[in-house]
Parts: sequence; C-alpha cells; structure tokens
Amino acid sequence: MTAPTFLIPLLWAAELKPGEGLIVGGWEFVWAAWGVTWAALALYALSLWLRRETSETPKELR
Amino acid sequence: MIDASAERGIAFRPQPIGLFHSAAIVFWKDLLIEWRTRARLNALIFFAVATLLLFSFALGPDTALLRQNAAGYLWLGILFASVLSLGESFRVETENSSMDGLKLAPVDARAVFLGKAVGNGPMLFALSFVLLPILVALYDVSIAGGLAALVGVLALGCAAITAPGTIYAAIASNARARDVLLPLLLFPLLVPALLASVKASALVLQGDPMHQLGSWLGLLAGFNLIYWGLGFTLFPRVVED
Amino acid sequence: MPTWTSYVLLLAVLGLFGVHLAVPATRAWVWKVLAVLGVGGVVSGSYLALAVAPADHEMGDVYRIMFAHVPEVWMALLALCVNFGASVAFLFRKDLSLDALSEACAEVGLFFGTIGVLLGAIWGRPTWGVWWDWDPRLTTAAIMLVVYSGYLALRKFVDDPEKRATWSAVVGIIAASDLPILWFSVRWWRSLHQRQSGAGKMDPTIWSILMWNTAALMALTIVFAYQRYRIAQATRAREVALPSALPPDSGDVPSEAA
Repeated sequence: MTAPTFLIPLLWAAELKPGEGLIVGGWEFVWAAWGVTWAALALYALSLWLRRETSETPKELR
Repeated sequence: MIDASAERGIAFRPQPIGLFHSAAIVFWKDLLIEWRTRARLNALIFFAVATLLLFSFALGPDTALLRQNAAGYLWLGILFASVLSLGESFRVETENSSMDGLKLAPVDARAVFLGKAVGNGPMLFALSFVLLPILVALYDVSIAGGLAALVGVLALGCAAITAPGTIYAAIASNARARDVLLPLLLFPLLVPALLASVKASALVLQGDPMHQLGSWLGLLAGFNLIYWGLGFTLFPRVVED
Repeated sequence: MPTWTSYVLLLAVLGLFGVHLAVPATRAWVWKVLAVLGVGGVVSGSYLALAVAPADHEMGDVYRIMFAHVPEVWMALLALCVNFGASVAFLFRKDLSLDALSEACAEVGLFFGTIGVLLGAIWGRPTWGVWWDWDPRLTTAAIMLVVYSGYLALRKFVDDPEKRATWSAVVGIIAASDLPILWFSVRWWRSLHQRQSGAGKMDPTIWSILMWNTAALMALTIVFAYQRYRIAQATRAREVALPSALPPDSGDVPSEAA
C-alpha cells in the first residue's frame, strides 16, 4: 500500500520547516471537520425524510 | 462537394443529400441570416470591447499588471461573448419552431450540429481578431511568439468553446431560464479549455523560453477532439422528439 | 484493530447491496439494515478515528480529518460514476427509472463531494496555513461540484420528463468526460510550483480505520441514493399520471405531442 498522494502537501509542509515538522494541536480543526460530517449526514437524511414519497405514490414504483 | 453557395440555402431534391452538404446548407443559412442584419457580430464586438475596458477599470491603470494578464482578459472577453453568440444562434431556431422545420426537411441532426458549430466558431474567431488590436492598444502587449502561433491558439480555443457550447445552447434554448442555464452549464465545463487557451496565448504574447506551448496546444487539441466527437454523436439526442 | 474487521463490514455492505439488487422482495428491509450498519459504522468509525488511531508523527492529530475526508470523496466519485453509467444506459434504453437513478446519484455525489471539499479546506488551514490552496485536487474537486450543480440546475429548468431525462443524460456524459481533462489541465497549470512525490507504507491500523469509515459511508451512500431514487421515481409517477401537473403555459416552447 503506497502512501496516499493526499498526504503529499502535508509531507511537503513538514519538510519546509525542518525541525518542527510535527504539527502540534489542531484538534479544533479535527472537531470542526467531523462536526461538519455528522451535521451534513444528519441534515441530508432529514431532507430525504421530508421529501419522502407520500401515500399517493403507486405501489409498483416503490 | 457540391457548391453550397449555388443552392442559396434552399435545396429540394428527390434523393437525400449528404451529411456535409446539409451541414454546409445549415451553415450558409445562418450566415445569410447573420449577414442580412449583421446584428450579432456588431453586438458581440461591442460587448467584448466593453468587457476588455471594464477589466482595466476594475484593476486600475497599472500597465504592467494589465500587460501581464492580457491573455486572461482576452479569453474572458471571448468566453462572455460566446454565451451571447451561442444563445442567439439557437434563438433563431426556437422562434417559430424553425428547428422542427429543419428536422422535417429532413436534415440530419448531426448536420445541424456541424453547421451550427462551424458557424459559431468563425464568429468567435472573427471577434478575437477584432479584439487583438484593442488588446495591443489598451494593454500595451507585444506579440513575441509571432502572429501565426497566435492565430493557431485563437482558432483552437474558439473551436474548443464552440463544440460543447453548441450542444449546450441547443439544450438551454428549449429550457426555461435559458439565459441563466447556458453559462451555468458551459463555464465550468470550459475550465480546461480556458486554462489551456490562456496559458498558450500568454506564452505566445510573452515568449516561450521553456517550450511549454506544445503541451497546452495538445491539451486544446484533445479537448476539441473529444467535444467535437461527443457533440456530433450526442446532438441528435438533444433535438429528437 | 485488525484489518479484517473492516473488510468484513465492507463485504457485509456490498453483500447486502447485492441482495437488494438481486431480490426485489428484500428491498423493503435491506436498506434499513444498511442504515443501521451505516449509522453504527460512522459512530464507531468516528470513535476509532478520534480516539483509537495513533497520532501521526509528522502531522500530529490533524490527519484525523483524513478518516472522514477521503471516504467522502471516494463516495462522491463512486456516485458520479454511477451517474455516468446511468446516463449512458438511459440513451440506449430510454427507461425513466435510469433517469431517476442518475438524478439520485448526482445529488448524493454532489452532497458527498461538497462535504469532502469542505473538509479539505478545513484540513488546509492548519497544514498549509490557508483555507484554500490552488492544489490540483482541491481545484478539480471544486470545479467538479460546479459542473454537477449545473447538471442539477438543468433538471429544475425542464418540465417535460422525457426531455429532461434525455438532456440530463447528455449533460451527464459531457460533464463526466470533462473530469479527466480538468484534472490534467489543473495539474499542468500548477506544474510551475514544486510538488513532492512521496511513497511509503501506511500504518495497518490507520488503513483499517480508513476502510471501516469507507464501509460505513458506503452503506449510507447506498441508503441515501436508494431513498433519493424512490423520491425521484415518485416524482416521475406523479408527472406521468397527471399531465395537468405540468405548467399549462409552456408559452414559446413548442410542445411536440410525440
């Protein structure tokens, strides 16, 4: 398994600053990213539920 | 090929006529409509020139900056004008249901695509030629790579806008809110062509020490090949009933 | 965490989807199982990504965004591939349910693509120092989102179901064929800037957590696409059943009674 290329900019950023390659902290970004993911999944599921088919839909199309 | 100009746009024959012949007739018909009013090309030129002027107002009178970005402004001007041109080229068919008449003639839908696309391409090409001296005057550019190379880039770039533009204009002309829809569909699709055209033009205008022009022209040629092919194949589906 | 657990989840998701496709009678309940697997997988996958995965020795904790970002982008590409396939198939078969499938997949793909790009921007801030970099991947993905937004906008602007289906299929094919060209052009555009080519081994724990989240999001993708497909089918059924539901004033648009 090769290193995924999406890590490359990170490697590059790490190499630009020799000696301080380790990015410390950044948890707020991690929480923001996962928060966006959870919220978006929940909201999209909600929107699908609100748009769901009603009883007037013919049975054979379900 | 039979001389299309002798037909004067009207051809009634017992036997079906060939694809390229009917494409030439569609092309000639559009050219005739355009020539009788000359409204479209005039409007396009004024619109594109106004766009070029507006860019310099938006960025301030910094000549060095304007010269450096001249290729980008040229292509944005052409791109914005192309939407007007493409929309207009199908408006004449939507009005009075002329497209139905064309289909009943019967004209092969692929011939309509070729005729329309070959009509739109030179229109943009002519426009870009009118814009060149204005570019030189307004932005103080010099053509370092020679006029022949620039003509090649302009021709390839205009053809690249035309092929997907023609098929999308045919779709948008029948939809609601066609003026919104065409740029919405076309602009993001043309990003590769725009990038390649701007880069290639900039290399021609400012010199090409690294010999990168070839790869950008290759990209443009590939884009053209794919979209002329796709347009030719898919256009009958767009205008079918 | 052993890698095989992730593969078991992935296979379970794919297997259930296979059952869903092969046996129509199971369609009433299979999606519910997939939904449970998806929600459970995302909850546990979030825990694995945030708490179990070891901090990376170069990127620290920030790389934990990757566990959400990468599967989202993969799912977007998957959905858009299905959109392309359904578009091509529609032009051959003229089956409106294929059009419903393209519509569903385009919307789900756009949804995952949007949050994927958003997470890419959130990732860019601590690592590049800016929210947005004109990185080929980010740029291509962003333009891809605009292309497919145009595709969905087209659907809203055409009322006749048959025409909408055909034109959407054409636009779907053209949009999909633009993506590889877009990718190359944006890469060349950026080629004056230095780029690194790195290759190495990925930690097996990290890989298995990534796969776990991928499987979970795939389950959710299938559920979303299926539910969106049902909505699209219901809309079509209404449109076909009630011609009066079409706007009466088609105005200047010539109406072909074919």
